[in-house]
Amino acid sequence: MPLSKQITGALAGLALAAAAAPALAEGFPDGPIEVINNSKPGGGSDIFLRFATERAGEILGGDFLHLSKTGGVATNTLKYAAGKPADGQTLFIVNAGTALTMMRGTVDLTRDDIIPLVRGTVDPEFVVVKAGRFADAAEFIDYVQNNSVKQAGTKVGGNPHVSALIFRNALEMQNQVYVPFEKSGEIIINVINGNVDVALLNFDEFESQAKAGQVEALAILTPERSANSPDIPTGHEVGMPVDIEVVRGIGVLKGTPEPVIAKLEAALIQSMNSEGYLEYLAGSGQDARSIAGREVFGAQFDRMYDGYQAVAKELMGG
Amino acid sequence: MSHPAHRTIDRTRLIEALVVMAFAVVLFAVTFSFKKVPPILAQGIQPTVFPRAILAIMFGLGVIQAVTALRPSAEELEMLKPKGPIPLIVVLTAALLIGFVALMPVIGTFPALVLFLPALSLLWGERRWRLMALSFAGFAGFVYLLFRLIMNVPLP
Amino acid sequence: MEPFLLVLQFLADPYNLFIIAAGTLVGLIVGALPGLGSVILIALMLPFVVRMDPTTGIALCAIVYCATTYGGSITAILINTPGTPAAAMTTFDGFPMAQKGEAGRALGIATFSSAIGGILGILVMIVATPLLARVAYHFGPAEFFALAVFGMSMLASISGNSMVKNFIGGAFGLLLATVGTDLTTGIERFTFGQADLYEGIAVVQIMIGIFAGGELLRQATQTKVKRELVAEGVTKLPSLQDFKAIWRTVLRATGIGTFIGILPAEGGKVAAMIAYNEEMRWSKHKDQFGKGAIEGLAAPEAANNAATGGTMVPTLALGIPGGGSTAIILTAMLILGLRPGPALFAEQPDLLAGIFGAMLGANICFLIYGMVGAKFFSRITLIPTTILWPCVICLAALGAFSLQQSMFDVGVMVFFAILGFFLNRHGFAPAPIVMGLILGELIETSLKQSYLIYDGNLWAILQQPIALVFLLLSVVGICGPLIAKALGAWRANQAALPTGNDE
Repeated sequence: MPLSKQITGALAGLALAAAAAPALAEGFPDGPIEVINNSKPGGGSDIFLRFATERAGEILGGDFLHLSKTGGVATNTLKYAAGKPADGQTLFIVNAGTALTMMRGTVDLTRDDIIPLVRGTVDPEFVVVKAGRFADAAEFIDYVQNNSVKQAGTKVGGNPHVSALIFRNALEMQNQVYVPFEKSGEIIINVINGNVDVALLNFDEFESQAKAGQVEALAILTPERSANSPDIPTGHEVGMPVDIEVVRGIGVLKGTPEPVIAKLEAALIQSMNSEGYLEYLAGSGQDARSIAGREVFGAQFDRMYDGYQAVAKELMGG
Repeated sequence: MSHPAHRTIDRTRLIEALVVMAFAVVLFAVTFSFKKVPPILAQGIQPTVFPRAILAIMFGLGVIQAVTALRPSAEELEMLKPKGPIPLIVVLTAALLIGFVALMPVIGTFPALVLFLPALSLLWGERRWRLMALSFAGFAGFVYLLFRLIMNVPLP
Repeated sequence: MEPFLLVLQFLADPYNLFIIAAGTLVGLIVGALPGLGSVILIALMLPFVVRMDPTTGIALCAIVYCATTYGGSITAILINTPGTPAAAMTTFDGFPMAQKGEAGRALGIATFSSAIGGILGILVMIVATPLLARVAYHFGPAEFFALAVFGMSMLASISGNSMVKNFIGGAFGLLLATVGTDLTTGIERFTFGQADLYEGIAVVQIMIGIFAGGELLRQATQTKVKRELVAEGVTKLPSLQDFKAIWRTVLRATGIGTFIGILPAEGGKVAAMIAYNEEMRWSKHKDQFGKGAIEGLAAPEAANNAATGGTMVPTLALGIPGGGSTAIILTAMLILGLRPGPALFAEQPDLLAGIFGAMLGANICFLIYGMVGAKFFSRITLIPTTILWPCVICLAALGAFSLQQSMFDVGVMVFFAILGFFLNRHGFAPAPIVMGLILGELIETSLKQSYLIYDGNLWAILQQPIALVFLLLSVVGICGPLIAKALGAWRANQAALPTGNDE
């Protein structure tokens, strides 16, 4: 056994050396590129990655394989990616869950071990309540500062929960009971039937119910109003000075050769500027401004990381 | 099969009941290893409550089972059938299955298939070589076509 | 009548007919494969769908959704392996029929029930979608908790087995559902440090293991037993009498399926389970269930296909998906620039007619495929077990793998295969375990959500009218069989008066 292992090891080493020799991007991609996401097939990240990389295969001249490694927010995704060589053949989802998981220390990777390569979505959260429940944002703020508030969201301890805590702190809520649901559809039903007071939702998650007059958005939590909902004020305008967005992007391991990184970045950005991806963005009320390269995305990821650290201690029981 | 049971204790059922009870006790102990929940997450309900309740019910059901095993009704005694040991072929089939799954990532799906399919078939007493060769080759081709070519699943 | 005319118009277009025929075929095959279902198929299709004409694209999603639901029954009947979780209940009576050499009859009944359930479900949807959708608003955690308890109350009336063992099996199923990260606290439970268990054990893997794996090991004990199946018997389709016998079952199950489909919960899985339960609970020959009762096959198939129509109701009318597949269909609609919601019915009658028409077409189409195919597929049971079962178990292993490309999942499958064999040997039937597994998460989560919503006062659940009705029905469900048994004993003691039709 040990002998055969040694031989395999030596062979693998040789193969690696051979692969590493032409470190330029000419040899890239070498075989299919794996894209790892942390949601189940058909989940939000999975669908985002499928659309984002859809044209990239043609551009780079190679196949993209999508793998779901669910579990522990992004623990299994990052563990899988960390076990692969830093050669650009393995890409992974970079979102709030990625940041949270690295912060928790359930994987050996830290912020410095990954490169957020391209950003694909910036989906703002809206403050959604039952229609007519509050006269305006001021009344809502007054209510939450003097009452215990039931706020609906998805997974406890995951990024939506972190967002809820950031929201709680920004509004100085008296007390927040976080009622977790599996899907956003359940959340909206329980907002409508009065089981919960408020939820943070993306535009496409509540739009049809807002149109039907069942729910209303008190504010959009971004610096500027959105083009698809110009009547909804920003949180800054109405006394909720906080920005909360669902950011999704793609990353590679640090140590990936620079030419490969540059090639991937260019290819992915080109892929995302295709008609199909822009339509995907339009589906949730976004446009090409959501797409960004590693410079912008890296800086934003750092800000997310810092913002989370403020509330993460509470979540981790520290 | 034919010899009637002349026992006054349903031993099989008693053992089953004890296994169920032991299972419940062991898993109940495991619930103490769950991580402590920060108050912000627990919000008044500990994650141990539901599993412990289920395990308690399971233990209770085990006790009922054990008690009834000690004094089975005449009707139940009638139905008692000594089971006999697990047939060797079942153990071997299970072992082959485990071997197949263990080999899959090591030597690859298709080599593992080529070894496993005829092995199990032989174990089950099949000796028609041509039939085996034809159907298993056909099956491997079907798998390749479906998983590899059409659905693009990265099989090991 | 106008909506019906638009539907007919859609169905008159040859291109649409081609899409229906092709989509149904693909959906049927993927549905039949263990482990793969509509969610993964629609996710794979998504990038192509969004480039199609909106009506055709969404129609195609709806078609494969219908067809996969039906396809799951084929493998459930022939090789005891539910192709999709919604077909788990189909194995209980479908496989015994195939074992008896009635594979053709079983496939025919499943096809017929599926199509009728599916078609009626869609008709209800066409007529009453905006109206029915409002039901969804009334289902919060309290109501779901009560519904799940109602489902579990069935454990009391499964006959033929020890009731205590059924409850133990149910408890084991509930316990399996707690493995993984707890939704309400984010804490890992029973993961034993395994990262692969964080998200829990996938229901599909357990089912493939218990059903396909357990059956493999059971078949191993039978290798000496020669089964004499006559080809003509096997491929024989159901008789007119069979259809007459299940007609009412199909109607009842369709009602249950449509209703549960509308609720934003699990869709077909739960619908099939409750329909099977209710059929057995009120049946006059309970002891036949699990041994090849045609009602036991018809009920879950009619219900899970009716539920596909049902789950589309809140998706289209409220923009709230009723399950995993409809969630992706909703995503596709949004990308195509369609905004589901009450306004959709006024603004986009063509689109709705297209979706309804496509689903209707898919159901008719698989009725034809199924009836023609039954003669052909049923021959699978004629393949010698020494050839068939090695292939089946490999297919099951590969199916378990491909869902998440994980060897761990395959290991789980093998583990439950061996466990399933032992449990079955000791009289713990798979049905209660599967029920606990399907409903476990719903019970625990809805209970905890209720606790948070009602500030720790769980009695408040009883103040919700719908929840109260379901809880009372559960009590009736548990006590009913006991009373019926007592009544039966009393009647037997009376002089055996000849009774005719005791309707």
